[in-house]
Amino acid sequence: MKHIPLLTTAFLLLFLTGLMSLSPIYAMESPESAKTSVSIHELLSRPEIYDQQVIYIEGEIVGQVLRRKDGAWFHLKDKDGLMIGIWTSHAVVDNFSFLGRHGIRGDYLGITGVYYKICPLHGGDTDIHLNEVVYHIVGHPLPKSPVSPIKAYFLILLFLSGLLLWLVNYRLQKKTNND
Amino acid sequence: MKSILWEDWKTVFHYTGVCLFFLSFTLLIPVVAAVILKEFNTAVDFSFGFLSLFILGLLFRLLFQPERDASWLHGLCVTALTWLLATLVIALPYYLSGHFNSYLDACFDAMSGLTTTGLSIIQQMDHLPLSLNLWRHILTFIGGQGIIVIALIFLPPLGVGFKALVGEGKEDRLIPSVKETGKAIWMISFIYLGIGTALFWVIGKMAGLSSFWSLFHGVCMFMSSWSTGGFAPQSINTLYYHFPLFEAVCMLFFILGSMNFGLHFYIWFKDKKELFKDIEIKSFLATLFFCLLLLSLGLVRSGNYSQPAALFRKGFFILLSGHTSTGQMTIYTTQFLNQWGDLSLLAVMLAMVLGGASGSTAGGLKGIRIALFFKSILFEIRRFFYPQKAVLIEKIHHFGDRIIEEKLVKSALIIILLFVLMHLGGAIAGMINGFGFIPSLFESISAGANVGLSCGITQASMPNSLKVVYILNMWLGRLEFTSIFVFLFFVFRSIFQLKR
Repeated sequence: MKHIPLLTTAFLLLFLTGLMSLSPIYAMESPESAKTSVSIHELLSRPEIYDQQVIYIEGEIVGQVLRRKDGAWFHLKDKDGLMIGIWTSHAVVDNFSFLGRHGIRGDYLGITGVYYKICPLHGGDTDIHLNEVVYHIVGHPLPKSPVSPIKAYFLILLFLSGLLLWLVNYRLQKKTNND
Repeated sequence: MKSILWEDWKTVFHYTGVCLFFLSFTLLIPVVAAVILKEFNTAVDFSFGFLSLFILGLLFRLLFQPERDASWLHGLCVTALTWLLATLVIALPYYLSGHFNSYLDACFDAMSGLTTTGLSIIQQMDHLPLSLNLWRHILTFIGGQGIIVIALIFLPPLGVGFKALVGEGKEDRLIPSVKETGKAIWMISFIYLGIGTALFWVIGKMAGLSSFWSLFHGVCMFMSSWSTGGFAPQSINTLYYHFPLFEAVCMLFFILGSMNFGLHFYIWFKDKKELFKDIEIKSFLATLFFCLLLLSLGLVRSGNYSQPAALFRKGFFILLSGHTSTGQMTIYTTQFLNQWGDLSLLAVMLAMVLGGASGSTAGGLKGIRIALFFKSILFEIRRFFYPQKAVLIEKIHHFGDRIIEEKLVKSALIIILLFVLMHLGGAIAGMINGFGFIPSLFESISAGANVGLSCGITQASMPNSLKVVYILNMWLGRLEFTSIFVFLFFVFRSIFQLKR
């Protein structure tokens, strides 16, 4: 009886170690650049150079399009994984095919626009007012990866262990109540 | 001092098992959500999380039958151990999702969510499965009310109940019965959940989101605000919405969330005037005003946000977010160091240190301790203006008038001192890893006070040692030291006894 906690811990540790090997690393690649773009990190780090200047930036459209009366917001995520809001007209966002989210690679855009460290039009937001979409690669849904069979076996094993334990617990509690 | 026996460990393990067992059922929410949204891989990941916690809880319950009544020692140890083990197991589905570089990173996010801190080192956040994203916010909601509070509703009356609840920083009994207190806390939160989600849904639609996305963002942002958690569904946090009204509603709910649950209960069911009498509200308003003054001076000096709208949406929002220990952001992390200037940063750091109210979802020093600290200073000064033999009494109003006793002041001062030491310790750890003093202190305060604002240090690429320090800071800050210190003493004393 004394060794049961130790054995249980050892079993759980072994089990978790097995699970560790099942984790994929999620990564996304960017298409080849058409021309050199400034990164969002660069824009934020050196506002004295870029503030209120026309810049060129590339990235994937992520999130939803936020349509307002006088325009619309969309967001570009660059290769460093940083995201920035782009203010534009309704006509531009109407051309978007895919908005990036789980399972969907959003359209990839190269745009020129005016960068604002503190936008006077939008209550101090850090944003870009779009001038022109220079190029546009249409996104696509990502292939769905099936559940790994090893993961499924592990899960069944764990489920059966849980069920067994619950039954033992149920019977013990019933016995205690009867006593 | 009484020696620690195997029976003590059995009591601690048993009740920890009970808490973990009940907590495990919350992991069924993302499983169901993932199945509905056809995110089957995520459903499997969360099933692992649910079953692991379920089995661990049952094993502890079965193998360790308590042979004595739970004491304060056991209650505090149960709280510390439950939070630690819950973090380790909840990190499992995170890690399996592939959105974290290591298990340590997954633990960091789990601890950050549970403690309602809001710092995150998740990868590809804008491509997260919706069920995983939703769960991150639900976790802050659960952590905000307290994971012991969940178990408390189901625990037998003679169990570890109130002792563990105190260890979790919720010592105000709203109702004499501990079980009913737990229920009342959840009732208050669920009523606000309904109101808040509806409000965010309407404003989300006005901001340009579709009905579905408005609902998703509404639920997430309500939980983030009310729990003073600070997470958001997208990587640029609240800046994503570009909508002042949305930010205003966030502010409303993180102010409400940073108020004592007892005060909500009092206002709803007893006396509405309590809102204007409570010392924590007065203390919060005074410190907020002082910090706002510093911040405005700092931002004006740095030449940023000259428009009142910008000053409000960026300066005041961040300050309030810091003071309520929420951590939602309407600027980029790097802008703190590049644009804000030292005085503004100092104001935000001060606000983060002070935090919200006791018995709320907020972290930090807490309003009641700030009030006690300043009241006791004033009391010492006042004494010189009275005859030596005069008996002076100082009172504070917190659910009725309370006399300030020396014991109360001493305990508040000890906690304040421990918080200061923890923040300094975290700052030293940051500097050892090559970061400057200001950013190191900022990030350390943010982790320790469970805020979640970041000036850029918190990234997946930061050193592992620093991640461990911040995890410890979040844990210590959320449970306010006592239960963790008691647990560590319990462990070391057991080891020492074994050696002897």
